[in-house]
Parts: sequence; structure tokens; C-alpha cells
Amino acid sequence: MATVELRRVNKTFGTHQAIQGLDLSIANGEFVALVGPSGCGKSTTLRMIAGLEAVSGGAIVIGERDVSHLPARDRDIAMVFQSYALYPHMTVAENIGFGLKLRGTRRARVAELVDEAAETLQLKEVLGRKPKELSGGQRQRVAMGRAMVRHPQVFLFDEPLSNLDAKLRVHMRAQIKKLHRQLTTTTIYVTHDQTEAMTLADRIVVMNHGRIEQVGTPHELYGAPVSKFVAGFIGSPEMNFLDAVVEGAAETCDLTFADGSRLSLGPVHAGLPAGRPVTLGIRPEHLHLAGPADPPDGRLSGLVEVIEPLGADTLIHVVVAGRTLVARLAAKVAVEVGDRIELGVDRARAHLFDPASGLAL
Amino acid sequence: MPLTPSPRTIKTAVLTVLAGIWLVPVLMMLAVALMPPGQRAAGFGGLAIKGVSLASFGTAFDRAPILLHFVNSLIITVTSVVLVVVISSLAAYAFARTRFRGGESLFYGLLATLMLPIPALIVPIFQLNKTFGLLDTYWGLILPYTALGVPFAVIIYRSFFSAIPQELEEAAKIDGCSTFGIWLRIIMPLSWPATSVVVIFQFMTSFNEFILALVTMDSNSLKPLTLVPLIYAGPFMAQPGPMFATLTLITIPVVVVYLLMQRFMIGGLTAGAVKG
Repeated sequence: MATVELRRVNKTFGTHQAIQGLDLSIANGEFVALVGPSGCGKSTTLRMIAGLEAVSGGAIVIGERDVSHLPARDRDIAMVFQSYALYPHMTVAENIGFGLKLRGTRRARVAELVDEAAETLQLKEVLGRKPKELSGGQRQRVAMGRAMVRHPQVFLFDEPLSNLDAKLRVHMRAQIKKLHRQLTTTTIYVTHDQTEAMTLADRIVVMNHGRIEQVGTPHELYGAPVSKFVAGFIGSPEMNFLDAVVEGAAETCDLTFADGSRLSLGPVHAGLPAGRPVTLGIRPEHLHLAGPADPPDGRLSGLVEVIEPLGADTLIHVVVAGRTLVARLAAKVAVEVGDRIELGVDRARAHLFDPASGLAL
Repeated sequence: MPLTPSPRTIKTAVLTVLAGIWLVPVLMMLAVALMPPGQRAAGFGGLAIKGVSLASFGTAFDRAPILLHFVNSLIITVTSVVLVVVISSLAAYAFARTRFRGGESLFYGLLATLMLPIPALIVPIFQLNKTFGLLDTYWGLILPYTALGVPFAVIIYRSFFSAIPQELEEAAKIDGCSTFGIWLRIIMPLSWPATSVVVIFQFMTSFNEFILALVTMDSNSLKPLTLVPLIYAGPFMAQPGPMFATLTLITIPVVVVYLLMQRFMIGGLTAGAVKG
């Protein structure tokens, strides 16, 4: 176990700056997920920590050591790759024990440690098989076994579940979480799947265009996103956005939408000057079918476009002010496609963003 | 309904005919080698003989120390095969995985050397051997054979290595391998198909090479097997039987090596040719 620190880390490929002045501190034993869209620099960051990519500037510190210019083998890290990267010519046992063997561990001790890892990951029956004889889930576990057997200071995961089917992914997610609780090794996990990040990580780092947009616990990112980008990236289905203009008294924050309809957000968002353009953000779960408790100025009216029953709840796509909003409603809801309905807004949980910068207001 | 042969049948038929044509010289060689001593020439284009006799093989073994020449051939061939595998796989690994100034030009320069026919190189190689004192030594053949075999082997290895996923090497790096360790422990064990192609090709060309051996080797005790048939050539090829018996013996090791490695060779050619 060790702390990991990135200090003003830069990475350039030719003239393209992939990572720009990244600062990040990861505590001992913490599970941190790096998320973001393709090309945001999350994998490059992980590869720089691993020593597979040279840093162009700044420093990477693991424990007390500056490892920025050390080769991968001297960083005391282990990595699980998206494609598992198992050695096809070696058996499962040889794959798991390869790193130990290279480090000069005695043969008996290698066998003991491989056995231990195989026991934890339920791989004992397949120790003598070659990777091509294994299922996707087993290969994934072998890759994890290879990483954990050396008891490294840091685990690095590069989208390790993206090659698995949905059911196996959920199962393996639980396995990784259990394993982290058991080993308490500092873990950095790259994924583009925000659900994976939310369910696994102690803290999530949202990246965009080679920069960190926000770092926080899953709860913080969900509840208080610092930008429209983070708000849209965290949460599924993603947050609804509607462009509006602030009107009327500053203490009530009344919004007017493109079609002239209005919504009053009340005192929570007070203080914005009249005439200011804003982007309203509301999560699907913070919309509901309007009832008597919803004031008339706290409703949005729209036409039902699509109904998606999910079993536990139903997603309704409603066209409001020319934009389609998604609302997460109860499983059984008496609504038909083409109905005009009124949606009540949980106004205290609505977000406002600056349309130009995308930053939260 | 008229029966039309499937494309597969047509392909098999064409390939069978071609294989038959290819086999004719081999059959002629066998026919003459097995011809009884009294017969002067085989009939039907050299394919028909009256009776079968191993007498020519007996003469071949009596007249020349076949085993000694066979060992000479093996020493020269096996050493050049090992050198070609080691040198070309290391060079190809560098070509496949590292970017360095002039790398591409160097690779295409290497390809260009494939266009030179061996006869064109005889005089320069003879001069080089003479300068370095390698005439009439094993190294006088081993080194040129290695140099001539490396370009083809580099091409085969480079395209094969390029198809190996880079993540495997990265995993090995993290596991603790050096670059040389990756080549030795990961790349080479995965490259058996390419290695078998290189081994077969290099074995075949080195074992069968004649002209360079003729101008380099003078001592009978160092001559490879390919020079033995010359004993029987004479002005009018007076003894075709023992000559073709020796030629038959020369083909056996190559056929054995091919049979041992052909299973990998087919996969190797495909894997090396198609970058996937």
C-alpha cells in the first residue's frame, strides 16, 4: 500500500497536449476511478503511472519515491489490462507466477503464492490450463491473480470489464470490490462506464480534454457537479438540460424557456440578475408527475414521446420547450405516448450552469 | 442436371497436376539412383528403369566419406540457421517495435539485398573470405550463408512480431522483464510459426548451396555434401548412378526438417504475411 501523487503532470504527443498539468493525491488504500469520454486522457494518465508512457513534465510519486523516470518493473505496481494480456504460451499457474519468478522468488514460495491467489479467485481447477482454454470471466480473474500475487503497492486497472458481457460485468464488479476490501491496496481504476466508477470507487476523478474536471466522492459528483460536463457524465440516464433566461425578481429565480413557458426555482437559486442566460439541469429522478402539492410555477408541461418500462421504474421521454427530457417515474404510471402531462420539479435539486463556460452557478 | 465440379475440386485438380509436374525431376533422380549398374539410361524421359538396385548407393558410400561430408554440411547449416534465427529475430524486434532515425530506410535497404542473385556475389564474397583468411574454413561458408539469409528472415519475423499485441509486452514489462527478457521469454516462444519458416528456408538454402561451397572449400575433409556429386560428373557424366544416389541422400535431411516443421510453417506463413 502506498499513496500516489501526481504533481503538475503533462504529456504531449508531438504537438498535441494529451495531459495538461494534472494534480492528484490518492491516499493509502484508496480506490480511485478515472472516468471520462474517449480521448480524455484517463488511460494515458494510468499508463504514465504504470511507467508505460513517459511523462513530458511534472512528477509521479508513489509512496515517498519519485518514480517519474523509473522503468515499469521498478515501480512496484501491477496492472490489469482491458484485453487481460495473458501470456498465451504459459499455463494459468505460470501466468500468475511469472512476475514472482522474474523477481527471483524461490520456486516453492511461487507455488505457494500462486496457490493462495488461485484459492482467492477460484482458479484452482484451471491452474494447468492455457489462456485459450478459459472463459472470459476466468481470464479476467487470472489477470487479477497475476496482479495481486506480487502484493504490489498499487493496483492499476485499465477498463478491465469492458470485454465482458453485462451479467458477468456486474459479477466481476462485485469481485473487484470484495478483493479491494480484502487487500486494501491503493487502486486506480480507469473506466468510461460511470456506473462502474460510482459503484466501485471511494473517489472519482472526472477527466475531460486532458484535465481534471472534478474530483470527489460518488455522492459529491452526483449531488454537486461543478460543471455541466460532470453533471452530464455522472448519472444514468444523464441529467436533462434546458436553456433558459432568468426573469423577474432576483429572490425567486424565475426561468423562461425558448417556447415562453416558465418555471420558478424559488429561493434556493436566488441572486441571479434578470436577463442572465442559464442552462437548467434536472436529473430524471428529480422529475415526477405533478400533483396537488406542486405549485403551478414549479411544473413543466410537455408531450410524452417515448415510454420505457424498466421493471423497477419507467423512463418517460417528454418534449418540453422543444427539448426532450427524460423522467424516471414509478413502474406503473398511467401515461400514454402522445399525452400532454405536467412534470413536477424537485426544485431544491435542480442545477444551474453558465451556458458559455459550462460551470455551475 | 449437368454435373459441374466445385471450385474446390478444380483447385485440387490443378494443384495435383502442378505437384505431379514438380515431382518429375525428383522421380527422375530416384529412377537413376535406383537403376541397376548395367543399365546405361532410364527410358520414358528418364522415369522408366528395368529393375531396382541399391548398388549406386553402395558405390556412393564406398567412393566418398559420405558421413563426414554430411557432418560438414550439418555443422555449416545448423550454425548458420542458429545465427540467422538469433540475429534476424533481434533485428526484426527492433524494426517492429522501436522508432529510430533511418529505421525505415535501413529496412528497405535490407529488402533490396534480396534482389541480388548469389552468383553476382561470388567474387566479392571470395575476396572477403580471402582478406579475412576464411577460405577453406567452415566460417567461410557459415558467415556468407548467414548474411544472405538474414534479410528474408527479418521480413518474416518483423511482420509476425508486428501482429503480436503490444499489451503482452507491456504486461511483461510490469511483471519485471527487460527488453531482452521480453524478446526471450515472450516474443520468441510465441513466434514458433515464424521461426519454423525461417529454419526450413535457411536450412534448405544452406544445405543445398553449391557455388559458394565450390569456390570456398578446397580440403576434402571440410567439403559439404553438395560437392560430393562432382566426383562422379566426369567429362560425359560417366557414372550417373552414384551421382544421383548422392543427390538423393542430400535431399533426405531437407525433407526430414520440412516434415518435422511443416505443421508450423503453414501457420507461420499465414501469420507472418497477414498483419492482424
